[in-house]
Amino acid sequence: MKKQKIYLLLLLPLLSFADLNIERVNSVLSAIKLNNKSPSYYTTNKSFLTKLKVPKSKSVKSADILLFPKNKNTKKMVIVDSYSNLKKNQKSIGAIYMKKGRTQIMFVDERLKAKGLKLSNKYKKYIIKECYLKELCFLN
Amino acid sequence: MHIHNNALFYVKIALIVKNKGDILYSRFIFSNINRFYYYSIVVYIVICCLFIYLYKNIPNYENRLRVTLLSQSIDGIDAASDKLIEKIVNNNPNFLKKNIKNINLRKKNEEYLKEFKNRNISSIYLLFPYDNRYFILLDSDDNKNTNITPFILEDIDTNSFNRAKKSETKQVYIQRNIRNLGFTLIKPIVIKEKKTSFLVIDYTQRTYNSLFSLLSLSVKIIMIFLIIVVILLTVFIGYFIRSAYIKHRMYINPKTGTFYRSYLTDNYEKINFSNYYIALADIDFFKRINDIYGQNIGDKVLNSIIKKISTMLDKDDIFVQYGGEEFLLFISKNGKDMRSFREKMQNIRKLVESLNIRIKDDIIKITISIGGFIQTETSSSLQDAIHKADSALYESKHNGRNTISYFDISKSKILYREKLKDMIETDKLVCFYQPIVILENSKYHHYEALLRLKDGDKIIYPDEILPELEDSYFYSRISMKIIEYNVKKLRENSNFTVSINLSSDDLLNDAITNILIKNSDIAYRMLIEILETKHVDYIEVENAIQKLKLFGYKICIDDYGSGYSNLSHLLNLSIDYLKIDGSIIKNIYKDKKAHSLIASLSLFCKQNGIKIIAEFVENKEILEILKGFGIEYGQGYYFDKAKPYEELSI
Repeated sequence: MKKQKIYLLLLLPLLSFADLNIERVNSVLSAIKLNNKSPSYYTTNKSFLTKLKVPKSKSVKSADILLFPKNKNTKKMVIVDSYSNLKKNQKSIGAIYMKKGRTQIMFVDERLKAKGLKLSNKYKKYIIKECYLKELCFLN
Repeated sequence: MHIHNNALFYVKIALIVKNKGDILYSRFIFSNINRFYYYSIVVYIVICCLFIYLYKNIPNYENRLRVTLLSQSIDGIDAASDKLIEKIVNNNPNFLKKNIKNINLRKKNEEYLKEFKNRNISSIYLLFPYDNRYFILLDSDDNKNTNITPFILEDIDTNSFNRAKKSETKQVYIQRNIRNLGFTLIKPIVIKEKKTSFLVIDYTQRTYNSLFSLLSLSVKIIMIFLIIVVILLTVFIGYFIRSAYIKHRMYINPKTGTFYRSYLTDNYEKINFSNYYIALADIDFFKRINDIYGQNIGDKVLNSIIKKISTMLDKDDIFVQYGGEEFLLFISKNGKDMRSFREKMQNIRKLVESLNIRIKDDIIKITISIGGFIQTETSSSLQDAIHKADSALYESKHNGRNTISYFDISKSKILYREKLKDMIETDKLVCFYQPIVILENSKYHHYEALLRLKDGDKIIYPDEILPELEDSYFYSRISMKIIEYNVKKLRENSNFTVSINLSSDDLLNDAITNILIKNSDIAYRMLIEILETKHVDYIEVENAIQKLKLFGYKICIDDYGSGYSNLSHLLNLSIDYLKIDGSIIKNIYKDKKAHSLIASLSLFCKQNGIKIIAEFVENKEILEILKGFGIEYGQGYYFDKAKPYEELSI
């Protein structure tokens, strides 16, 4: 039983991305521009990396944006794997995760601009304001 | 009983439909084979399109059915969720702001959500719209943070939310693209006519499956059934087309487009012959063309003649190649009277007569004989109608060929050739037996076998048979049958002695003499009475007689004194008996010449060892005169009439 739980835990990272709408993820990531060019991405999750159809880096060093990094202290731009991490990590520009069976993709507008990133208006619904993360926004 | 009657009714209907269908099928398929293929393919394509339409739309119908069933099945949940909303909202129009401000209130409300949740519910949450987005205010899944989080909806969610917003009514929709979710219920929360938020319940796949497993199974069964139907239809139509094609190839001459005889043979009952005038036509002396130029050239000539005649026919008429150069024409009565039919036949005859057939360097002229039958509605069957046309054809041939004759139904008593042929081949031929009596002691010496034909209960006499029965093949065939019949009777009964009638042509027929020789062990019980024919080669006949006598047969000249009989027979043939014709005997007591003739004959025969049989002994007076002449045998009604074998006291 203990062994099974360990195997499940090991699989969890994989499982958490298993149901992501990868087409949508690729579509949104492809639309992000850094100085009018497509930034390169890197993730340690190899199976996820292979599904991405965006410019990919072979290492952390050469990548512009890290996807779901384990090292939270990195200086690179990061996309995190949960809303709570998005709230906590001010350096993260966005989050990609599953919630209630639906693929959640969100980027914080102010953080994108701070990093010089642009996402076209077509993907407006994936852009949120910084104040949404603070909740007081909704009281106005 | 009621069910039984219903079943019988439907069976009758089915049989009628099948019968009509068979008739239509035969007529249509063979006259319109290309159209048949076309219609079959069109029907098949239509059915396939229908199948594709159903196949594509069944999921839609199924979906709509599911949604309808879903809406009905969640009524109970609907009421409970209303109570939940009441609890959370508490009729406070500002409940949203209160919950946003007060985290503890949110936690409390989330507890209500968790209480509501059961194993059929994957998730229950409250969404509110803000800035063109949706945010989760309360979430049964949120264990720690009770965060207000943005929530990106799938397209199907968005559409249903828009409908819920617009209509202010609950929406239920099936989740197809989200794993583990079966369906979602959205309930708009409206407070004082203001839409504030939505309660959303995601139900598990399991719940969904348990609701619709039967429906899914039913849909699958319907789809499988449809597929099987299409496959069977494909096989059936393919088989039908193939069968039609084969039959068409079998029944129709590809070079001329006319029917072979096999079409008639297989479809006698389906052809409504009373709707047609029937003509049987035969090309005169066509055999010569085959003999001179060969079968191949003959076939080509025949096909070209058939094509020419076909041009004279209307589309409702049927042309059947009945034999080698014999054609059967069915001329539709529709819009045509007898005169039109006769004209058409005449035109056909003239057309054939006018043809100049070029074969190599020769120009060949041919003629055609036609026998027509007009009152086809009087016939009991197609075969009967054809027999009558054949009889008329026979008359045309007899009248010199290149002519047309029509069957006269007033002469239907005459047994026409084809029917006679059928009767002979199917053993309808029998013999009746009339005794030949020894005049001295009135004891029976032997029986004369007299030809009869059985037509059901009716007995047909030879004088009803066509007069030109001396046609060699036919007549010999009858003679052969008579011999076979009597040989069988002789072998069954060793006390039985007969005389049979053969013509001089029969004696020259090897097949007949061979069968007599083969049965020569009973020759001593079979007397051969020779009938007179027009032309007799006495040398050959005498040779035949000698041969038969060697094998033990006794020979008699029949009907002496009438027809073709003359003294040459007596002088040139080695006979054992002489049968004097009844026309002389019956007047013997009042006709002096007959009396003298018999006296002379009697003396001649005595001196030459020939025994005399007198026919037509009708009374005692004749008997006594004959006895006075010393005539040995007599035959006639005075002794007994002809009877079937079973009535003889042997």
